[in-house]
Amino acid sequence: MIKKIFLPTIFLVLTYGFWVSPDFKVITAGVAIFLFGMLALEQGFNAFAGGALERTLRKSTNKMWKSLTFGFTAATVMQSSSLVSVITISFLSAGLIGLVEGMGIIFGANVGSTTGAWLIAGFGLKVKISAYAMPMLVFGVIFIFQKSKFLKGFGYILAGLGFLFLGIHYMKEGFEGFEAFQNQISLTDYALEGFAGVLVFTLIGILATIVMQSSHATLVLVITALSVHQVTYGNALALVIGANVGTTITAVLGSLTSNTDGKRLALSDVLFKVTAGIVFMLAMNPVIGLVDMVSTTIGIAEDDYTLKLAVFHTIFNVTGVIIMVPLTGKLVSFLVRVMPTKAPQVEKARYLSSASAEIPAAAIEAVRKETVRLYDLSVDTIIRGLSLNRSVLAADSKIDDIINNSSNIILQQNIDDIYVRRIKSIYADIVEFISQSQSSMGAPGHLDRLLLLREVGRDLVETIKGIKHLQKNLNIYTLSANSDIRQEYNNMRIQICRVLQELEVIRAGEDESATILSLDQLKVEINEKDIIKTGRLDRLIREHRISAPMAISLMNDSAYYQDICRNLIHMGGILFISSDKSDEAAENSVALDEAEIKEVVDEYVEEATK
Amino acid sequence: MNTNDLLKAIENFVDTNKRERITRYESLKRLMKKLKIKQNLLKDTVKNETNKKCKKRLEEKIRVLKAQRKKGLKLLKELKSEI
Repeated sequence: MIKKIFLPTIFLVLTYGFWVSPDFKVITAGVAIFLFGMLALEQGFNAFAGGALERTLRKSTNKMWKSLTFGFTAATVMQSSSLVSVITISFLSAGLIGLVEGMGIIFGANVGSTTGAWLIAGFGLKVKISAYAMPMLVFGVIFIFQKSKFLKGFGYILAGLGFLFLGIHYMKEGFEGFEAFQNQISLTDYALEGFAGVLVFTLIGILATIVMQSSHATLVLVITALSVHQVTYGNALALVIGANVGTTITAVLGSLTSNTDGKRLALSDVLFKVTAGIVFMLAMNPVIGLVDMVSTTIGIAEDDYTLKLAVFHTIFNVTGVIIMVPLTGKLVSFLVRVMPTKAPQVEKARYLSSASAEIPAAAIEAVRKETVRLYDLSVDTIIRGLSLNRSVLAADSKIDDIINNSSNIILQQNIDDIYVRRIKSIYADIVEFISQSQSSMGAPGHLDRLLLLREVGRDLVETIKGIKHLQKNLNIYTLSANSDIRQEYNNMRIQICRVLQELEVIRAGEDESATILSLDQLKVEINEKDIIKTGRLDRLIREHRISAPMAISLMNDSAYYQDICRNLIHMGGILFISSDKSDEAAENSVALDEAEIKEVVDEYVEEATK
Repeated sequence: MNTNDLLKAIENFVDTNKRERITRYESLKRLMKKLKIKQNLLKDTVKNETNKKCKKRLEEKIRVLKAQRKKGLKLLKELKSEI
């Protein structure tokens, strides 16, 4: 219920916000662009997964000190710890690095970002990497249009970075529009002493950094305010603490589109800053003493508050690293506990128990039941892969009419994903169970039956793979304006459904005349309708009714379709054979072999040509 | 039951191979009967079917059934001679 109303509620709130405030519109658009940038960045890094970048990253982050150095260097070069954080989250989401390595990079980046404070305080220098946003976007899009996978990936990274900056720019612009926020940043109104002052100014620092989307910008503001005595030295330090905590908002935002590990990493960044923040807030006086001592040692004048601020900023982050690095292991287990990974819902075997593995008859029955379940799950996947519903398989259903008149494509879930979660997992359990119970099979007949049932699983897996290949063109050509190609693909769908329908009838066992012998009829049909053997394909090409690429697709896909049907028929002959031994033998002895099927087909062709 | 019949019944019971052959023969005979009924039913349906496509499919089914029955009858003969 809550899930159902969540999305409409969000839309309503946003629409109301857009209507009431144009600035809100700019901020949310900024967030949206930022998140889109994150998606592009992740896609870009995915292109490099398993390649040189991954190897380099693994080598340069395989130890904590290496990760810290990596993060420190990256943030010093980029002059933005937030940017390093979001890129690290992308690395993590793309599986290029692990959580511990990511934490090392982010902690190192926090220290690296303090070099910015030194540059600002020492030289009045402000490196503005965001100036490169627009060119990044342009170059990025050009690269995206390239064919090479790596250039494309690089393009996505550049465009992603461009969008990140563009998003941040819009967020800033939107916040600037709020008069109230501008007034809140006027520091003189809040001059306070003692712990209350520390608390209030930390909050202002957090707010200002969120609003300006840059801890550097907050630092510039603090240094300016300090130089004109708008703010006391103690309050300025609290503002720096706030700026450090507030800057984590970018990583939190960036983690919204990432996987659980990305979110864990963002939380670790928040915990790093908050822990250091709390320690410094509580121990403000000793910290001031420490700053003075360090400043005197390195020769900073007593009244050079701007450089002292840089010292404080550095001590803050170094202390954070000193506190957090030894706790990394515990932090990881805490994060894993707080944010558990949602395990993909993998289907497991229901009927296979170790107890039944010991008794031959019980083991065979357990495997049969499990294989029937596997068959059911496979049929669901096949039917959806053909853009149909299972009702099409009802005994009285007119498959031809339903398929020829269906004009919609049901959006199929990723077949690979379904295969891994529903089919492969159960088949793996069956194979394992059969291997375990082989030793307890006394009579050879029992073992043969088990091995045959294992073959059924293999046929089903092959069928699903065939459907995956077939689906690509099926989705295109069943909606094609060319009626000939449309009909050919519909014929494949019809024939596969007929096989499944017949199997369902045999399985139900209500029609006594429907035995595995009925499958011979389907074998004949598949042979008779072979698009190549019947010369239909040549005719379609000769009469220019289909293009050459269409013909190639048809040739390939008709091979897939035939394999699908043959696999299904083969598995049906094993799985749904009569339970009576003598009846089973009789049915098997009368079933037509390949040569006999060919004879029937030839007879038909002969009659048809007369 | 005369002596000969009794001896034959005892022989059938004792000879496992023969007993198996008899079971196979009876199962096959049952199956042939089923197939014959199915074939006749299909023949009746074909007569009343107006849809060309359906008619063609039914005729194909009959053709396959005929081939299966032909094979089955041949086997049945062989089994009978062995019993």
